[in-house]
Amino acid sequence: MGDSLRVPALTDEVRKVCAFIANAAREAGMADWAVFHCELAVEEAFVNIAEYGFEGFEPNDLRDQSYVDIVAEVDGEALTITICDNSPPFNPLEMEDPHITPDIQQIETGGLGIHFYKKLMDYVHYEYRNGENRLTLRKLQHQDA
Amino acid sequence: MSLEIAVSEQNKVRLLQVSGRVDSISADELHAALLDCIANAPHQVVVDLQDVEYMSSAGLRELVSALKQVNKQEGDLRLANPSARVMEVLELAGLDSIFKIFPTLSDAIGSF
Repeated sequence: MGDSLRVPALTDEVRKVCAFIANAAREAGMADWAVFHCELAVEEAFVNIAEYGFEGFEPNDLRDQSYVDIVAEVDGEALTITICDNSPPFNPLEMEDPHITPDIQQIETGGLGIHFYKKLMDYVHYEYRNGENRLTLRKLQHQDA
Repeated sequence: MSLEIAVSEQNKVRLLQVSGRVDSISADELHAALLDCIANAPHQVVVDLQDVEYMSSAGLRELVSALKQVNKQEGDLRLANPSARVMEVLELAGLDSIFKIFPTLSDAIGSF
C-alpha cells in the first residue's frame, strides 16, 4: 500500500502533484538530489498528460471527466511512482528524443520532458491496461549521487 | 517558492536575474520577462540563474526560445552562475554545450 492522489488532468494541478511526490520521496528517506529527480520526473510526466493527453477537451470538461492517479509506494529498495490517466492510449516511451544541435535555429526541444524522466529514474515502464495509460517510474531509495 | 525576475542593464548588456521556481506554472512569467528583455533587439543578454532552486523542461524551453530569437538578431544570450539543480538539467538536456555558461555574473557580462 502507498499514498495516492487523484487530480484532473489540468496543468494548474502540477504543484500539488510535485509536492505530493516530493513528500513521498522525503518520507522514503531519499537524499535531496533524489527528491529533486522524482519531483522533476513526475512534473514532466504529468504535464505531458495535461497538455497533450486530452486535446480537444474544454477545461471544464477536463475537470469533470479527466483524471490522473498518482500512487507512491516504498518497499525498502525503491520508491515506485505509478501515474495512471484516462486519456486515449499513448506510449510516451516511443517518442523521439529532443534534437539538440550546435545549429541553434534547428534545436527542437520536443520530447525533453520524456527524456528527463527516462534518464532520471532507475526504471521506467509503460502499458495501457483497463482503459488507462499506466506509467511506472522507480527510483532506488539508497544510492550515491 | 515563487518566481521573481529583475531586469536591468549593465555595460550595455541586458540582464535578467531569476530566482525561485521555474516550472510549468511559472514558465509563462519567464517567457514574458524574456520577451520584454529582448524587445528592441538587444544583442547582449545575460540570464543570472544563481538563485533558481528548481527548473523543469518548461523553463529550459523558454531559454532556448529566447536564445534563438537573440541569435537571429546576431546577438547572444548567455547564462551566469546556474545553481547546481539548473546545471544538472542543462547537462541532462545537452544544452550545456549550446549555451555559453559562466561561473559569475561579472564573467558573463564581461564576456561580451
